[in-house]
Amino acid sequence: MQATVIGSANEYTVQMGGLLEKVRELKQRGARFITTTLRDLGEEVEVIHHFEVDGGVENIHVKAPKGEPIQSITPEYPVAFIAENEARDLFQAEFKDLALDLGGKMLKIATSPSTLLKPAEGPQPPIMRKLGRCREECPAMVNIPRYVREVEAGKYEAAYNTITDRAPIPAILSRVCFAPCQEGCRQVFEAKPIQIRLLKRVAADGFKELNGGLVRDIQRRPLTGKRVAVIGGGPAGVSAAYYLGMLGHGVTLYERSGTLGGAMAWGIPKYRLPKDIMVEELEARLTEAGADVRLNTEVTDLDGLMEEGYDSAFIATGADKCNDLRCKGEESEGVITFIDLLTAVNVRNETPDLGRRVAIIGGGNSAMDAARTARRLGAEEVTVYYRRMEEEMPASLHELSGAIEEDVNFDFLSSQIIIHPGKPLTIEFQPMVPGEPDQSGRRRPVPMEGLSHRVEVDTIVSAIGYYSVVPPGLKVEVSRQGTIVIDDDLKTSREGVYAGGDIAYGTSNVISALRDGRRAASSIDRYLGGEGLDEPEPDMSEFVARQADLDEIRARSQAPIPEMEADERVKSFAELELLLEKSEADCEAGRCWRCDWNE
Amino acid sequence: MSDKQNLTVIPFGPQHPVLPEPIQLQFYVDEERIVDVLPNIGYVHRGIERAIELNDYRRNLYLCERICGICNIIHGQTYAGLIEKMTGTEVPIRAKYLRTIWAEVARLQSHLLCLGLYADCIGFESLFMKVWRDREIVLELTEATNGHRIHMGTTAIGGVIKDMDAKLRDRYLADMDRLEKEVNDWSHVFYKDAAFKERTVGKGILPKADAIHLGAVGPVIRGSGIPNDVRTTGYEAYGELDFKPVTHDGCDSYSRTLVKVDEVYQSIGLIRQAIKQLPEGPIIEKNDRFPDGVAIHRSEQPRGEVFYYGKGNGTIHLERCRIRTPTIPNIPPLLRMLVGHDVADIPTIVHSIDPCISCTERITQVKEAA
Repeated sequence: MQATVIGSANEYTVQMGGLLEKVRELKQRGARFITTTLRDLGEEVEVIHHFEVDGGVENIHVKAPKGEPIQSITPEYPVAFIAENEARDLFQAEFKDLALDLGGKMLKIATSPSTLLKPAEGPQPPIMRKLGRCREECPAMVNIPRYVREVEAGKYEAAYNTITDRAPIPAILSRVCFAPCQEGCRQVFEAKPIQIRLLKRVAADGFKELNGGLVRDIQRRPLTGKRVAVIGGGPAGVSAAYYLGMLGHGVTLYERSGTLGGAMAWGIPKYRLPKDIMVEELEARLTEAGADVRLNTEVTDLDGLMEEGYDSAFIATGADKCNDLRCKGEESEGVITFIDLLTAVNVRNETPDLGRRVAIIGGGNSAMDAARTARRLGAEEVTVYYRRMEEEMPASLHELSGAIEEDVNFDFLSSQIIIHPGKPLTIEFQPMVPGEPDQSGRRRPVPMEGLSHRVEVDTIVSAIGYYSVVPPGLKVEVSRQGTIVIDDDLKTSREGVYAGGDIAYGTSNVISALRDGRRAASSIDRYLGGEGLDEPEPDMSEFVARQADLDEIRARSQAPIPEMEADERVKSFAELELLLEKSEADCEAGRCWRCDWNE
Repeated sequence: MSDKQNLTVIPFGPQHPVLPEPIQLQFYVDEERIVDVLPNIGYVHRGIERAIELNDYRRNLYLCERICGICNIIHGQTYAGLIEKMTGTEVPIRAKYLRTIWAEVARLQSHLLCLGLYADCIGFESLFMKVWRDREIVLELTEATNGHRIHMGTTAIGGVIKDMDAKLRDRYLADMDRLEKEVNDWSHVFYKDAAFKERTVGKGILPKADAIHLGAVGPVIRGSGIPNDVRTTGYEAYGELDFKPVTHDGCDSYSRTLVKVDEVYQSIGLIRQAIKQLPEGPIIEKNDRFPDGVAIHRSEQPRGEVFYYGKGNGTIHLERCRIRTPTIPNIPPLLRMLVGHDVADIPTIVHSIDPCISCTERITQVKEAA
C-alpha cells in the first residue's frame, strides 16, 4: 500500500511485471480509466494509473528506472493511448506494447522543447527569489542559504567569502553567535532547524585549513585618500574598519586595551572562543583592509583627534561598567563583578582563587559564563541566585543546560538583601513570589515578608548586567540611558561622526555589532562621496537545482552539537564545542529546503 | 489493416468549419462509409502542468482558471479543492453553496453554447439564434456577479471572494424564471423536430459497455444510459441538494443532446434550490499552511469529469500537478462512434461530444511541418 492519497479510495503499488494483472482485476470490477500521471523521482519515474471504480478513485503505482521501457496498459485499456503517448513525449519515457504508438510525435513542436523532465544540471528557467527566512532573521542579513549550499558542495572558500560579505568574522561568529537564523529556519516547526552556526564553523575551519591562515588575497577598491578614525576595537569597530578599508579609505583603529576584540575579548569565556583564533581573525580582516591599529590608546578628546586630519570618525567603544548589586555590604572584600572575573581569566590569563563555594547573582548569559568559569577555576559548589523564576531567565537554553551539566546549582526566587563581611562571607537572601506582570511581560517578584535565609560563601560574583559610559570628551549628544544618540544612518549629533554597537544601542550581541559596523561604513562612505555598500537582495545569479523528492530530506534528523563530556570540560579552559564531521556537515547542509528559491 | 491501402483517406481538421478547435481525424473511407479513424492530437500543448510546478501555488489558481475559457469557474474551484485537501482547509458552508451556484451558472452557459452550435452544425439557423439569445441572460448574470461575462474569478483557496447579497439573489431567481420560460420555447424542438431527429437518431452509437470501457465522461456516458456524474459524490454543496443524474439510453447523438437539454433544466433547478437554502456565515477560511502530501480532486464540468492530481512537499511549490480535462477521455469513444457511419454524419457526431480541444491540450501552436 502507498502512503495516503487524500481523495482516493484505494492505492495499489505493484511491480512492473504485475501491472497488467492488477489492471485486469480492476477491469473485471468495471473500472473506468481516468488518466496516467508520471512523476520524475530523479533516478526513476513513477507511473500512476488512475481508475474510477464504483464512484471512487483507485490508483495503481508502478516505478521504473529512467530509460527502461514502461509496460503500457493499452492491451487492457486501449483508451490509455492518449495519456501514455503524452507521457512518452513529456518525460521521454518508452512504453512497451503501446497499442497506438504516435511515434513520439504527438507533442513535437517546432518552437519550444516540450518536456516535463527536469534537467539534472544547467540553467533552470528564471524564477522568483526571496531572501529566505533565515536571512531575514539574521541582524547582519548574511546570505545564509547560499553559504549553506556552498558548504554542502565543499566550497569552503566561497562560503567564507559569502559570509564576510556581510559579517567579516565567520570563525568567531561560528563559535559565539546566538544564531537567530536558526529560529527563522522553516524546519523549526519540526523542532529541528538546520544547525547553521555549526555549518559556518565547518566553512571557517575548512577555509583556514585550505588557505593555511585566515588572511585572504583580495583587492581593496582604489584608494580615495580619505581618512577615518575608528574608536574601539570590538566587533563593531573592526567591522567598520574592514568595510571602510575595503572601500578604499585609510582607516586608523584606536583600542584602549592591549588586545583587539572588545567585549569578545574579556566577556566571552575561553572555552567558548579561543583567544588565539579571535585575534588571528580580527587581525586578518584589519590586514586585508590595510588598517592602522593603535592598541593601548584611549581616545578622550575627539576634537584633538579630528585635528589630526581625519575626515570622519566612528565611535564604538562598547559597554564595560557593571551594574551595582544595590544591597548592603556590596563593598566587602570577596565581592567581585563578573567583568573583573572574566577579564582576569580571559585577558590576563590569571587563575584567581575563588575558594570552594561561589555565589553568582544574576540570571543572564553573563551569569552562566561566570558560573562555568568559576567551575573551571576549581570552585566545587557554584550556585546561581536569581530573583525570578527559571522560565524568566534571559540566559539562553543552550548555556543553561551546559551549566546544569557542569554541576552548577540554581536557586530561583531569591533576592539578596545584605552581605555580611568576613571570611567566609554571609549573604542574607529574601525569598520571593511571582506577582503581577511588569513592563517586560515577566512576573514581578514580590518579597515574602518575614522569611529570609543565610548562605555562607567564599566569593560572590555579581552578574546583573552592564552598561556603557560615554567619555565627555567626545562631545556628542547622550541619551538618558547613557548611550549615544544616533539617527537611522548611525550619525551622531556631530557632523561626520558616527556611532554604533553597544555604545549606541545598549548592550547587545556580536552579530548586531557587526551589522552596525557595516552600516556605519556604508553611511561614512556616502558621507565621503562614495556610493555606500549594497543592500541585501535576492540572489538571482545562482542557479539552484531543485530537489526531486523532499520526503527523503525531511526524514533526516538534526545533527547534534558536538561537545566535550561535561566532567572532562570543567578541568580546563579548552574549547568545548567540536567541529562537525564532514559527512555530518554534508548531511546537515543537505537538509536545507531552499526556501529562498521561490518564496 | 491491410485493406487500408485500397481505402480513401480523408483528413478532417485541424481547420474545419464545424470544428471549434484543432484536432485532426484521418478517416479511412470505403466510398461513403467510414472504416477506420486515426486521431492526430497535440496541436495545442502549452505546458501548463510544468508552469504550475514553477509557480507559487497561490498564483496557480489564476493560471488554472485560464486552462479553459468556458469551464474557467470549475477549473478554479477544482484547483482550490485540491489545495484545500492538501492543506487541510475546511471551506465554510456558505462558500460551498456559492461555489455550487456559480458552477451551475457555468454549466448553463456552456450547455447553451453547445446546443446552439449543434443546431448550427445541423443547419438549423433559427434554433441557433434562439438558443444563443437566451445564453445572453446567463452571461449578463455572470457579469452582474463579478463584472465579467465569462471569467467570473470568484474562487479563492479556502472559499470565495465574492458574497451574494439579497438583491443579487433576487436577480438570480428572476433570471432563472425568465430563462426557464425562454428555454421552454425551444426545448421541444430538440425533442420532437423531425429534421433534427433525422440527423441524430441512431447516429454515433456508443453502446453501454463501450462507454465504460472506453472511459467516456459527462453527457457522453450519460447519453449511453449510465448515471455517471461526479456531482453525486457530494463535493461542495451537491450533497445537500436534491438532484439525480440525467440519463438517456439511446446511446446516440440524439440522446447525448437531450442530456444537455435536460441538464439546462436541472441546472436551473439546482441554482434555485441552492439560493433558497443558502446558509449564513463566513465565505472564506484563511489558510497559512503549505500544501503537503498527495491529493486527488474531481469535479463535474459541463463536458464531464475534470481530474486534478497534486503532490505537495510543504513548500510553496507543488511537486507535481496533473490535470485531465473531460474531452481527452471522450476522444476514444468518439473514434468508436464514427466507425460505420457515413461521411456526411461526421460533423454531427463529432459535435455531439461537445469537444473542447484547447482545454484538453491548452493553447494553439503551429505544428512542425511533416
